[in-house]
Amino acid sequence: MDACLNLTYKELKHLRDVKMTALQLNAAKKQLIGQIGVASDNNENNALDMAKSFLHYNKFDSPEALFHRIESLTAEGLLEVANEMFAEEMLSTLIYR
Amino acid sequence: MHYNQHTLPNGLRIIHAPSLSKVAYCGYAVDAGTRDEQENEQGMAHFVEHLSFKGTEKRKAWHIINRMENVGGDLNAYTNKEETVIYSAFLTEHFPRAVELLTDIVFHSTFPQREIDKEVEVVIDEIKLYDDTPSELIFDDFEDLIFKNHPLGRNILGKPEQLRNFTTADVLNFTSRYYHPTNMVFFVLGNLDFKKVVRLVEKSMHDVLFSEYKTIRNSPPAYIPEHLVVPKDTNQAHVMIGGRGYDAYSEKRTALYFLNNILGGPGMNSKLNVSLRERKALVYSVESNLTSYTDTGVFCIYLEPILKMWMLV
Repeated sequence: MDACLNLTYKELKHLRDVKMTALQLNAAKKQLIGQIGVASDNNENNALDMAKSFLHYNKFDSPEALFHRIESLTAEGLLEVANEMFAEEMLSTLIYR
Repeated sequence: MHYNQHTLPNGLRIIHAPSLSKVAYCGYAVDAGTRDEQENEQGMAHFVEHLSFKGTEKRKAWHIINRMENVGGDLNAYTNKEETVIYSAFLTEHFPRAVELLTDIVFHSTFPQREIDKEVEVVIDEIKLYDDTPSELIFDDFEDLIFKNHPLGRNILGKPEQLRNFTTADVLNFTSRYYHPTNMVFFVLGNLDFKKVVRLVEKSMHDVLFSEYKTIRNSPPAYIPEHLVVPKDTNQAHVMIGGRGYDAYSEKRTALYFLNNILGGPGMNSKLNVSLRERKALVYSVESNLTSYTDTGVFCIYLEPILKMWMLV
């Protein structure tokens, strides 16, 4: 259990401390865009996503708009978000044992 | 994606995405979920979803379930913290049938007490099943920890003792608060003429009048991290790590979504899967998730550690 927790915190720390290289960033963008593209081949999910988005935000972004936002991400911006979201002192834990 | 939209005089928003498929999907999405229940209504949003198929002013439950099934279609629904969706999948030619049925279900359900009494037991069985599935239960319990003392932390299914007290009047009280045309959208994805879509939806709603209503929500209080160990009589340990995330409107949400995918997304090459499972064989599974609500969010990592034999001695 402790080994699991330690390795998890180590990965979070790495995302907080180390800026992604251009190569890593491009590879991760390519993977996520590909995953979204594959998932978009499900019309039922597309209909439900559209409904939810229109219900709450009165708009529905195309996958292309999301791809553009992903392409615009920078290593500096990601580091900032990782430090905001993955700070160890701000994380809760729940364990069933 | 190209889509068409229109608002009816009664305030209902209609959204249509054209598709070339022979199969179409349509339904109502209502801006009402678990977080919109009052203290004594826990489980009501989900319960309404169940009861929607149990009778309207002109149909018995049997007629409802057969209406789309008879033409090879199906009826489906789900509830979450912020919305309830009731929808159908069918061959495009049966769109008029689907619209008429869904409008009847959403606006003219009667929620008979005899059906409530039967359905309560079905939901309580669902709760028991859920309690026996710690790998799912822990996600709800974690949200309870992150949104402590706020309706967002509540379990969608509710509590058996409250469910058993629900009456027709209670259910109607809930739907009369939230089931207004201005508080929902009608969505369609299919190879349909949009003018025909609008005409048929409007026709089906001829007796549903305009009533101004928009769900208003209170945001959860400030977040204080907590660490909790819960003894469970299971062979398997389950672990959640995480905290508050960005709301769905946040400009930083895409960055967190991206980081989440790198860390514990569905790919087997995610950082956590490689580190904990592939390299060290410490877990059966590991994943990270991001849920964004309209005013807040949750980021979490779920681990199923492998307990070595010596730990069990």
